[in-house]
Amino acid sequence: MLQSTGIVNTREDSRFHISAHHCAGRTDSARAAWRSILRGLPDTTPPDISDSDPLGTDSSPGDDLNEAESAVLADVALGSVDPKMSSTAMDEMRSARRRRRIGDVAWGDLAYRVYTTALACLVFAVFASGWVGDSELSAASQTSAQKFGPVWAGLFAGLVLLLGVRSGTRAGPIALESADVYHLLLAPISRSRVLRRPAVGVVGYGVATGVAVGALVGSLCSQRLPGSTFEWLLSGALFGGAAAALALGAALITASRRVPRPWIELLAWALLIASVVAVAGYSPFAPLTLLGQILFWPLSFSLLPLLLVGLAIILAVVGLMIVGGLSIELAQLRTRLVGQLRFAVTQQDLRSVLLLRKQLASERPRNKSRFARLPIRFGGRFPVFTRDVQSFGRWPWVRVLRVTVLGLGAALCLYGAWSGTTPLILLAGLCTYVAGLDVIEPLAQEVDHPMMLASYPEPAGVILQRHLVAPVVVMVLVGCEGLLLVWVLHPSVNIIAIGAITVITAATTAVAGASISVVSEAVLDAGDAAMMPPEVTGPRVVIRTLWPPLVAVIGVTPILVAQRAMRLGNDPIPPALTLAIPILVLAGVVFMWVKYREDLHRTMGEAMGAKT
Amino acid sequence: MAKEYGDVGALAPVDLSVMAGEAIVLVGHNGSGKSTLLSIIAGMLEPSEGTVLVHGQPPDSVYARERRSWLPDTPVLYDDLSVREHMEYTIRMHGGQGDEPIIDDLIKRLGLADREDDLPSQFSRGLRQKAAAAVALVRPFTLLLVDEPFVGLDVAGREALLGLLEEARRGGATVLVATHDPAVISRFKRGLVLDDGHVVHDGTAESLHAYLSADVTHGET
Repeated sequence: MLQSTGIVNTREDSRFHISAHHCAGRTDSARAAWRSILRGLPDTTPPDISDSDPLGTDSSPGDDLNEAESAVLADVALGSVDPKMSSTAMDEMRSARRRRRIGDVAWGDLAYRVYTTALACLVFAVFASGWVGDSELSAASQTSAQKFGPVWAGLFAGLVLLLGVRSGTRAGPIALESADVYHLLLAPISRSRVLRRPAVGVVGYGVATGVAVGALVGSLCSQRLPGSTFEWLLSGALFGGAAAALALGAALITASRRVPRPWIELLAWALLIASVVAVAGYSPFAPLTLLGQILFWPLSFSLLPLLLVGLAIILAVVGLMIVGGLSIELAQLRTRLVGQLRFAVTQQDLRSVLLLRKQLASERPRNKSRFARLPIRFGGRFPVFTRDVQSFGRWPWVRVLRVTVLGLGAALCLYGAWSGTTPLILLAGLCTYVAGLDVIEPLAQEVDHPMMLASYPEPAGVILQRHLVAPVVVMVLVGCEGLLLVWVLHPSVNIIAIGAITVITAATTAVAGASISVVSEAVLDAGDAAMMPPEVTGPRVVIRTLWPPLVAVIGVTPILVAQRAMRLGNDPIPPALTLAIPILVLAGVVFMWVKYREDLHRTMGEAMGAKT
Repeated sequence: MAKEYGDVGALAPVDLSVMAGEAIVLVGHNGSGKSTLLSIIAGMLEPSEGTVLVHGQPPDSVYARERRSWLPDTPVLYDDLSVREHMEYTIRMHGGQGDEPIIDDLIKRLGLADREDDLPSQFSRGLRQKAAAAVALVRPFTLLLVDEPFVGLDVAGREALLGLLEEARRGGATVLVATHDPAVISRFKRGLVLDDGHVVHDGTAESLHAYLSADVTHGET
């Protein structure tokens, strides 16, 4: 109940009414509205506004109603919408647009894209096949595959399911055109009818992709495990298709808002966690392991998993039936961003991908900072650091959580590497790199706004370099929480010492790697890229993509040398310290590159110009 | 009804009733909540709290969609349908055949006769606005929501649109228009002033003029 302002009419139930008060027969008012317009036909001269007081100042609402009713019949009466006719109109419009699009297609360009895509898939399949090898696994390995394979496959299915549900919370998986949101979803036609076709397209495409990928995985399995290739192809295809149908069905149901979203998300998380626990060996079974068993049918056949296949089909069908409950607000946002996101991905524009992904998830900075304002003098002396702290203070909770989880994840991976699973350092490095991409947001903002950067009375490189200090501090704090977790799991002085060394190196290299990704996006001379031959561009893109996370991975390697020293019975700290020095030098080199990148580029350009 | 984005309040709790056939102008500075209010009534945004009813029905019901027409501030049109095709399609969605005379009339009145078969993707801002106005007005409605319609329009287009809004109002439709244009504001009978998401004034044209003048004077002193 709102307080009366003395101006606005208050109502008992605080509802905003656009209501037809005194509306007996008022439903025909729209018909009358168009009759009044038609009274102006065929004379199309605009009315002389200056002589009248047009918009209601000289009449009360509805004064002209009787006069209007006596006028010519309107072209279209209100309330004459026939759902079948509307559906037909929509279908014909879509067909016409489709024909027009097909007519506009550059077939040569399309054929080339199909060719390159097929070629890339073929190369990948051959590469994967060679990597997997073709010698049959030993009996022990086969037993292990039969025991753990379905669990891992179930984990993968759980991950895909969770991704589908999260997509559904953002009005996915359908991405409509902007004009469709306005002209179809706001039209007087059933929204289920409007959305069903694109939803069927998305589900069909998704399931087909799942089938193809599953079949590929199955064929790779057939190289090392007993059973015919056909059996493996079939089981892989069925697993891939079922996982895709499960995820997409769950996504559509979530997007429909007919089932409370928190419940669906909770269920998806519960299923994933159950699979993680099963993979870790703390539980003999997880629900999605049943689905994973399909992939390994050639080793052990059971009809029980078909229950989950049936469930996946039911979810997909139900999702398609109730798709009309989609949120227009979220659909509009998704529409706007998905197109840009796809373009950014094709351009390998990592910065745009990250920004758009955050917008898609409605991850907005807080309006009010969590931190009190720093003292004026401090801000005056260290303006860049102060600006960065203000940025961190506006992090939404989801970002704080994400960076925290990544830090803890990196710590657990390093603990796993310390315990003997060496490949986990790759995952640890990736976690720190991804966290680094979040913490260097102020640097990224500077790179995004070159005009503002150019307006400051200091060289751009100097300012960019100063933006690296606060992120390193934040990453050290994140590392410390991870170290605390590891110490809880394994209280030991060596853990603390080696952990502290690794925290410092990991924090600096994570920021260094992330800054390479972001600063490299800033194009210093568009002509350079345009003139490069494909033989150079290709490797350049690969190096630009792989080098930054590799720098982050290098930062966590002190843990490995320390582990080796421990195994040999030596003191682990000196080797870790020894390795830490060149790692910090590497990070320092990157920080200097950030500062002098423009100067280096200019010098090289001048040198090239002098040669020619 | 209210609308929030995270910890930012776009629209404070608003409690309004609008009579059928009223013409109301929404006035306010940038970010005052005018577009948010109209978008909620149009069914494009969901209120964070409260309820919106259009003719007693939720804004996203088919019933409401049959009766409400919305002209947003940024024209949204299919890039591969011509102006005429857009209008034909829209009127067919509302029960027409697609060959009604109103199509030709709106095209003429809004100065689109030479461009009716062209694609909006090739249009200037003003032409897109005219095309969007034609699409919004070609179908029947009892409620017309218009957000900053005069941006980019030439004088003739503006007068034509004003005339069409007046005719719609005289025919009994409810018209809500958000605008900054003082010349347009003066033509409305009832005006709402929004400020930082709050409705700070709701009154007649005279009281609106007096309020805005006082507001300007207060700001100058």
